[in-house]
Amino acid sequence: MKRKKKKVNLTHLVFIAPHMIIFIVFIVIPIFFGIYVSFTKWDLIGTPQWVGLDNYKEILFNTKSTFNRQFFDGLKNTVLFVIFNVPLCIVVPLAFALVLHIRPLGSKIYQSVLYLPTLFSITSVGLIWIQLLNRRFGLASVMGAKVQWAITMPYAWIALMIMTVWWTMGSNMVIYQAALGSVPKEEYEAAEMDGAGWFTKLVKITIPSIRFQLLYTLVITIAGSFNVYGQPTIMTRVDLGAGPKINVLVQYIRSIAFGSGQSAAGIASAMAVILGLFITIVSIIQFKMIRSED
Amino acid sequence: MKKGFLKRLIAPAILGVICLIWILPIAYGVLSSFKSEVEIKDTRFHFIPETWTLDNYKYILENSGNTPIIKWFMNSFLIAVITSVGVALIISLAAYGYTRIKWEYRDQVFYIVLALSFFPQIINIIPLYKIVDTLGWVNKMPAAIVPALASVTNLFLVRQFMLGIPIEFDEAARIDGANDFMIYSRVIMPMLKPVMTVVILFTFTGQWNDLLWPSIVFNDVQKMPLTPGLQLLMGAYGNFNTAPVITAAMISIVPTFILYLFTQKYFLQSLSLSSGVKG
Amino acid sequence: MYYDDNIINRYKYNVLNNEKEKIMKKRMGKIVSSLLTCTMALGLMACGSSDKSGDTSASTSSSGGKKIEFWNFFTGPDGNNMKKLIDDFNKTNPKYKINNITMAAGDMYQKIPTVVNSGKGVPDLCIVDVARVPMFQSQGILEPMDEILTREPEIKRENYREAVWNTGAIDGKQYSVPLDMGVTGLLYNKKLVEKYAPNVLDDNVVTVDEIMDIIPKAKADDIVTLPVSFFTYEMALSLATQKGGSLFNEDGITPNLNSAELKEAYQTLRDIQEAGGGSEDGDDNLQLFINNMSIFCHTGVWDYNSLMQAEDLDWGMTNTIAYSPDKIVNVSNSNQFVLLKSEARTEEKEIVIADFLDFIRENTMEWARSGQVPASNSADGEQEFQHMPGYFFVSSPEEQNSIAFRSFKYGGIVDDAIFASQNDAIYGSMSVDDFLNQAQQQSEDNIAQQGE
Repeated sequence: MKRKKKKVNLTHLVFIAPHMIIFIVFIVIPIFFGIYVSFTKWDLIGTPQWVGLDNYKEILFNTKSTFNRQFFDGLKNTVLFVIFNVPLCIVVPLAFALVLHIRPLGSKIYQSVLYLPTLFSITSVGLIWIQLLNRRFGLASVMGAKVQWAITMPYAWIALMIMTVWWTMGSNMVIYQAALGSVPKEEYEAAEMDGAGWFTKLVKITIPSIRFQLLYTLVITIAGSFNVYGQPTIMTRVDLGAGPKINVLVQYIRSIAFGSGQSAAGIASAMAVILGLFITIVSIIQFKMIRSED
Repeated sequence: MKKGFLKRLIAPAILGVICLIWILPIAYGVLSSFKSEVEIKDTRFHFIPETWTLDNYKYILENSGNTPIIKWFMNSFLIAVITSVGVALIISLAAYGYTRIKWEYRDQVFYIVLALSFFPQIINIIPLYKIVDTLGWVNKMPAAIVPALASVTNLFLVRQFMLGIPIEFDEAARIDGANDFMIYSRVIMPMLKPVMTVVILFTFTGQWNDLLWPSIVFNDVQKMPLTPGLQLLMGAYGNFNTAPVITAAMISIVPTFILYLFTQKYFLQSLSLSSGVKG
Repeated sequence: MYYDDNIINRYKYNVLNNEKEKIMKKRMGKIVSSLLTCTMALGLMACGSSDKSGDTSASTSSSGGKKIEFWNFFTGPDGNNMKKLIDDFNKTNPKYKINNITMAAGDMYQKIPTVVNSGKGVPDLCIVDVARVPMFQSQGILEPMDEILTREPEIKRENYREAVWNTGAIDGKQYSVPLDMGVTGLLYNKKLVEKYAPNVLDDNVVTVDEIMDIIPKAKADDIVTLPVSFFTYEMALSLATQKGGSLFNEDGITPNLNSAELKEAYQTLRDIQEAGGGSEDGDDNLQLFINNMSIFCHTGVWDYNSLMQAEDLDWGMTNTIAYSPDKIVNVSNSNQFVLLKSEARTEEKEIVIADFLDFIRENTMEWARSGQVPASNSADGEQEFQHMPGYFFVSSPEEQNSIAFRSFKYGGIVDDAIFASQNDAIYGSMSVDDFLNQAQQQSEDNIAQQGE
């Protein structure tokens, strides 16, 4: 009996070791370093100075502090972004994937077009959209925009959502397409023989069959949305004008860590750690709610 | 009949309209790359160029000592390809370990790995640079390749697909005397062609477009990949030359788009499960 | 559903019938393993070679030969001028050639702590903005320029503009050598000035009152008078300095952003905006000026090349707007050469660096062509420079004295705090008081984070 157990232990290690080693060296160590920094005052140059929980207290409880203001403003905008973005980025690509799955005429072209934006880097996307959104000479002017969309509420949110979905939905769509391909046709045929309509088929067969991938897109899209940085940065460029900006948390964190002046890396790290914990808790809730791990 | 109608007319029509709107920003970008700088900056809106010019392309594609664009392309290509292959291998191996083998704490370990990967990676570059430098990889390709091999999102993705493969396949193979590695390579992996294609596509694109890390890690103009190279060429945003920047963006997506077209059919393939075999 | 034998048969069927796939997999396997081996080999080679050389700083780069790594952010048209200077210097066959590494300023300032922390990959010579010099010096990452100054005695205060030279003098040592002065001033459109304010430039400065007079006339024709959202900071600082205000207290450390002078300055700019003199929110202000839609525009000398490229534009540059012609202040940036602390910088390299800096000093006319006002005065006698708009700012002692630099230990923190909501105050979505109070709070909080 003992010999059998030993054999099983070793095998799994062989499989997960290459990934685990790289993961620990290049991801875990820097993260733990970041956690350490969150308990210090550090300007990224000298030696970090231990301050215990001071950074956390200042961010979370000192209502007069700039960092408190920035943290909660950033968190608010981030959460709003997640709430608006995630449903769109789950449902829209799924809808497209389902339609494309029945192979309508020209589907190859359509899916290429739909996927194309994802191939662009964020800087390229930003460049194009800034031009388009400009009230004076962008597309927005042609469409008769009376205000600068990028900086007027609620248009700013609408513009941000459109740009984000346009840019990112391709990835989820591709995953759904791959997932749909692996649903056995026999199940559909069996259901059709039982007289099921398209809606029943969708809900009773398709969705459950791709539930693993749905969970994936849900978790990853949420985590990604919490970590969003590129799109809001584009939309909050100073030369787009004054007015309420959508500043998400990661933007604040970066500006605190890499601003024009001395870095307050301790505060930035603490904010990052809090955000990380937040995402983790949200993910745990998701897993528990969906319980797809049979 | 009904389905045929949908397939041939309604769906394509709706999709067609959506796609036309969808491609507008990109069309604008492509057309802008043929415009002169003056035209882009003009206060009136131009969609189609009044005067078509190839100047922007000439400017970027000019291969010089200080801007060796061909070298940049090659560097990016190498990095992206090696990473993609590496990720496909390492991640699929790990996913197998997390799904097909039972071991104590297996799921907990996976969840911890997943949770850690969600942490915002901002201050990361400081210790990461130090680690990379200790390994002697500054200005060298491994710096851009190896950290990317730890991709947890891909691990999660492959794991999810693997979970959808019934365990009976494993058991049938075990009855035939296959060990874990043989099950992995001959049973599971062939079934994962669609998702592995997706993984390769995503990894290639991600590496190709990565800007921050390569610009930190590469100083040498000859060694750097395309993204920091183009940054060098372009300069900061603002008042200087928007046209070349847009042109550079257009040029950059060509390889990734070709890869996408190439791999399209692979991830749309149905699993061998339902490939018309009469059971 | 899957518990039937058919599945097992299907599996066997697949395994047996996918011979093609097997062969492909084998081939893939071979490719994969050889790629892996290559990668590992690369990695090993990389580790190996770096151990041998020991000097992993970037100074022995791919093209072989000895190099001096020079980081700068001249990625715009001025990059060509710097490149020419470097090429010309390299032609004189120095022991080490200068390797020109340009990158966006933001990237560079993110890279500097990264390389300084690890100690490797630090550039031998670096350009930084003057605003950062006191910060870097206080963080201990700058080496004093003593060796350089001894080696090349011509690099001295007398050969440069005094004010900008002094920005590098901290605690009795010289920590930087200035390259130029990026002076900000008022661009004016000659035709529009003729039309709306014919004599306003007689005293070489446009006063605030004069601006307010012009506004109604220009506004009637839909012409912008002065876009206040462009380089607002510099304008506001100029106005505040004119009245004796300053960003920091006497100690240079405590921020003083909600001072009366600064509040008045921003209020003045806001008044101009509200009277209709400014551009609309989100406009590209330089483009407005280039397209003859704005009488004035406040910007820096570095826009020279963009302006020269404009067709149909007759322009000039003069002092920043002022409350009265008696007190003129032109806020200026400055690019400065610094030596970041680096073990890889040998004495031999320092000698070449000194020669290079002296070369720049003497040939500064080339840099003047970029539009910046050179810090060295070696080009002052040249006709070519005298015809350039930047020359205006050094044409007399009064002009030279009007140039003000921002060079404070916590200057960067204050800059960020101001930029956070500056535009909001100008366009009225936030009151000037609130804006400056918030900026003050932000500065104090960030400075408090800096410990001792």
